[in-house]
Amino acid sequence: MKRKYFILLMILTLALAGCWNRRELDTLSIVSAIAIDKSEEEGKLSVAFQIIQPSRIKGSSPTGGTEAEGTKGVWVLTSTGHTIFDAARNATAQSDRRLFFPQNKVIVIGEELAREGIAPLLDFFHRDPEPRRMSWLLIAKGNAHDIISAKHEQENIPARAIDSIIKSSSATSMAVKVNLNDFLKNLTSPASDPIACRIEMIQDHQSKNQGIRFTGAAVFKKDKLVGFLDQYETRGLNWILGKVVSGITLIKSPINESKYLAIEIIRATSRIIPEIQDGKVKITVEVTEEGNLAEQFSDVDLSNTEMFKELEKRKAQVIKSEIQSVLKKGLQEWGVDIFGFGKAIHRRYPKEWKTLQAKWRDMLPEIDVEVKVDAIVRDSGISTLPAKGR
Amino acid sequence: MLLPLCWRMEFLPVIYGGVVISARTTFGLFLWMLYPNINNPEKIWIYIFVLFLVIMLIFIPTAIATVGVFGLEQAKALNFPFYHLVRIISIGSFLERIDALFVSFWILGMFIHTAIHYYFAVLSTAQFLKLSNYKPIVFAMGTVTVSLSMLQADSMIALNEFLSYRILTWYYLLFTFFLPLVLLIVAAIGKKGADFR
Repeated sequence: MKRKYFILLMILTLALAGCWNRRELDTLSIVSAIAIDKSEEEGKLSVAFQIIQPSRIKGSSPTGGTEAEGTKGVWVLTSTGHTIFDAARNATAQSDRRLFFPQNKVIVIGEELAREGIAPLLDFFHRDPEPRRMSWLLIAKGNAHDIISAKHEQENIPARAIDSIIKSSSATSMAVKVNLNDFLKNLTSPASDPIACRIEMIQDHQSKNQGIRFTGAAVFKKDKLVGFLDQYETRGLNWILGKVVSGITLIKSPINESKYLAIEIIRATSRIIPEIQDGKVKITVEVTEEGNLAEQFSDVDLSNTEMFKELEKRKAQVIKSEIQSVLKKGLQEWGVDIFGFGKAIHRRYPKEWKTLQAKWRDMLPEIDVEVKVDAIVRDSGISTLPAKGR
Repeated sequence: MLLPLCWRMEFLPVIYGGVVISARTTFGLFLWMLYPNINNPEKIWIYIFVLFLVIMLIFIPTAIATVGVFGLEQAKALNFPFYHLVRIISIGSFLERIDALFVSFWILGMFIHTAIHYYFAVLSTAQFLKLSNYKPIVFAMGTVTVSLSMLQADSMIALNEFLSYRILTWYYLLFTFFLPLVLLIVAAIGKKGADFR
């Protein structure tokens, strides 16, 4: 009797609907990067999709040998539309497979478009269930299409190269790492302005190839791009945000002003302390940094601690000037709060913030910011003496 | 720490939030329906305590993580913020997309949730109509439930509006608080049930 029921049960399971809605890998166009630019047609967008071609990225296969010159593992498909989704659906007219977004790593937006406001462009990525919120958001200096069509020497898929470059940018801390989620968080918060990664094309003189370069930051006022920070200003921003992981601070030698010493950053922390006195906002930024002497072009004698003190003083000066340059640009020139000052006030003075919030943007240029840097030189590497002939 | 908040009545939203959350624990209500059938009724207090403790332990990290990752404004705007949070989990940029696991647990939880509500709907209807057995109305109740679930809302927005704390809490409170309160008053007046010291 029991066996009968068991067999019946097994037969019934066959009737269960299995994968009727399945999507096989070979019916999908896996999008790895998206570039958005203004179209030549008025009011339209030109969207480029970088689609992975799995058959081309076999690497060194035993039968295939070397790849043909100029072949990439991707296909860049360009289409136009009034909105992003419109363009994505228009792209299916050129692609035999359906565009598939969850693997998308990079969103690049052209500078011209970003100056007009990017909130409408991000709505698709924020609303549609397919794209993920961890895609990097990059602003191209110039044209976005060029960025994702650029060839990369070491990777078949340019999006993967961009992804790795962004992840390894903490080696210098001269770029910001911003994904869609961070951007949206700062965009919708009333206490802050968003930033995004900045990327540009550079000409490689030797191989005549166009390469990509990832430094700096794109600064927004609400959702409109107001300008770019250069690499030192960006590190100034990272000092304030406490996001400096590693990098090199160059200081002038105490003996010979024309020669440099390189000090490697080991760790850095920051604190933003807001104060409100008689309606005036005062903010203290405290940065504590530790570093090791990594290289010197001059012959500083490091066997006494006084020299270390001098190096620390000079290093603190360098860090301070980096921070002050970005504060000047952000607060006085653009009037944006990319530093998290508003959030710090909100946290410390929740009651006062309610009244401050409305006029916060107008107050920004007049905020008094004090920068305190405590820089420490811990170590001088494995040798105290410079490499020099006696 | 909390005292200055109390003076300025700023703790009210916190208490309101507590009411909303505790109103949603309709499972607690079912415990009282099961009360006559429980072997060891004294122990039920421990289970109720554990129930609320577990709910608290789940809700607090959920809320903290969601607001922390998405920010206040985004967490408010997203339809299922915790689901989106799970979607972006990446453990050592190696173990990713664990949302499939989360969804399977979610569906399992939904199944249990629905099954328990279903069981008690059938059971209480049978008791209300003084039927000797609840089995004949199981199928009928299923038909009613499915059609009601379709009629409930026209769109996601309408459903969200209904399920929001402003509206649904009062529906829940009717069953979890006001009706039991009426029963208690009636019992107290009629001096029925166990005497409560």
